[in-house]
Amino acid sequence: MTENRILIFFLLTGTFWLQACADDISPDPVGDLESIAYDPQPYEVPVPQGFPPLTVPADNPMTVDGVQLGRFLFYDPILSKDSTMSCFSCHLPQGGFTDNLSVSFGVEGLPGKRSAMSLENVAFYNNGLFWDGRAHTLEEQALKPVEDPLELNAPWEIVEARLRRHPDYPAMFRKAFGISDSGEITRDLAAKAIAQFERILVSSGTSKFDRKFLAKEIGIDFSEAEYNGFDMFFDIEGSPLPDAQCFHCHNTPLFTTNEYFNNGLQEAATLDDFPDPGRGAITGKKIDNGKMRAPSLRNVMLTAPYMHDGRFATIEEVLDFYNQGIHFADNLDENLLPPLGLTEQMKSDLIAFLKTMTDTTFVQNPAFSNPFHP
Amino acid sequence: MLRTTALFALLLLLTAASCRKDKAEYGTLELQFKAYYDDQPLIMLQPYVYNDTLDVMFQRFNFYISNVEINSGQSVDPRQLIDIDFVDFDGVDNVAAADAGDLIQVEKVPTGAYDQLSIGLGVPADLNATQESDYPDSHPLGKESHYWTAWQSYIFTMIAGKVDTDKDGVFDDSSIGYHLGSDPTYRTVNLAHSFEIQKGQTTRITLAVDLHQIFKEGDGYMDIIAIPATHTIANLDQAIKAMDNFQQALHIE
Repeated sequence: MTENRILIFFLLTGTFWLQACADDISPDPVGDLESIAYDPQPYEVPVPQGFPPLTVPADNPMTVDGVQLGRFLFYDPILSKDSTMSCFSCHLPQGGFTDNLSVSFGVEGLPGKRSAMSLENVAFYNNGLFWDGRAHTLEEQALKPVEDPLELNAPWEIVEARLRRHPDYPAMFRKAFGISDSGEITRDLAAKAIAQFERILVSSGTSKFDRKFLAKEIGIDFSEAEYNGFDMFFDIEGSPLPDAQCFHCHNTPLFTTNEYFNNGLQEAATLDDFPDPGRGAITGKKIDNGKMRAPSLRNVMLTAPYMHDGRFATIEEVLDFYNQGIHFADNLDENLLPPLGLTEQMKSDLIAFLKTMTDTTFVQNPAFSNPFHP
Repeated sequence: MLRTTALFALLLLLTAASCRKDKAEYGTLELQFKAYYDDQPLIMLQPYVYNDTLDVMFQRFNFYISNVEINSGQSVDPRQLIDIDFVDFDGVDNVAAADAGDLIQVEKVPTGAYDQLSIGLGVPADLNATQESDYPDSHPLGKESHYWTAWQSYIFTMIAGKVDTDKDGVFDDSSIGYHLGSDPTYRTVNLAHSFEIQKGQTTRITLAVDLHQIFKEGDGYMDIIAIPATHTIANLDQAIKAMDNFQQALHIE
């Protein structure tokens, strides 16, 4: 009798133990999602007048459910080691999808290497992502912060397991990608969903600049200061004002040329001596050392601090630097070699122009907001 | 019997006709562009002598080509191969890369003997009336870096670098920013060259340009200290001179 009780006890214990381990060691149920309808509806991204056509990769078409899944994943700390941080932690809408820090801090409390870049219009970034361009596509980019020890620091295997046994995500993956069972949830699908959400983060076209110059609305007038700033920014023909050399790297309509430049920020005795080699570390070319991606200036007044290391707290400091703080190197962008010669009034006018790029409709767009706290 | 024979003959003719259409033969034409400076391979950030008083180093050299056509002497109808494309030497950082040049491949070129090659330098007026936001980012004309808003023109040719005026080996004395564009600077280069496109084969034509020659003026070279940049239409004359020189400098190697 006692032996039977012991046997029953061990059997029960074993059953519970096996059940507890089931998430980790047993295959996910096959076909468990097939009863959920898969009816993908295309997601049309509104693109403002004067913007280029949006290119979407053929293997990741935008769907309503794909974007919705990506939005949840973007804001969900399930992607981090200790479930405390998400993509959103470093890319907040109110900061123009930056965190307004010099460098971001990851789940271990350690500082990252560079400042978080804005995600506004990343759908149009055709020449690499991150400051050094190390990711070619949004799908590739979305994979990297999850496992980065200085960011979310979570092995994708763990994240995949969490997503597979989550009460809601398997159905959302089914609706987004038509998978048949939870076991088909992969990091690649998660990255595709996040990329779909990031592709909708497009400017609204309602900034003062956009309304005046891209939409060509009647009745949108620039102040004298704004127009002077515009003049210097784009080096308008016949103007007595100096060329502030801005648009070579920050051209319309994105206000970035999607290229990499040495803007004279880092002091380096030779091309081998840049504290942060930036693009050069990716291409392996010495001529690219010290170059960083030209960030977009859309919503620039919301994205302080500035530069890849966030060294400038204000836009005034940025202009002071370009006016008289450039460090020479052989690969310094040639446009920045001659002194700009901007007066205080000219700098003030440039800032007035930069403010015309503020797009509060973009940062307040409810479609971009945190779905867990709508 | 006669009817059956006629029917077979007709079918045979139709089959032969359709076969002829399917059997058009093609090869590939590869245009290899190479850049030099005084007959040396052009390498970015490498010092070169500009004249007796100046040394230069370059950071960018790139340009649009357009309306690339080939023709044979017997034909009055040239065959257009490329409407617009982009040649880029910006990343050339060693001799091997310079020797490799920038390759543009054109597939499905009809086989045959040709003796003329025509290349437009820049963006032709009809395309220059468009702007970069009209194109997807993968298109050569979708480059934000090469559309000049203030000019309402593409930058057809971009030459950028720095100058050492005191010969101290540091190129921090002046800059070169020749951004050549706008309709009056568009040029066409016609080159006599016999070549054959063979079925399934790749024929390579190497085109070379000496960058120093683009700055030629009289017996010497342009005053790049007095006119360091052509960033505006105010310097259109200088841009035209440079594109004229480019037209003369491009040749088959």
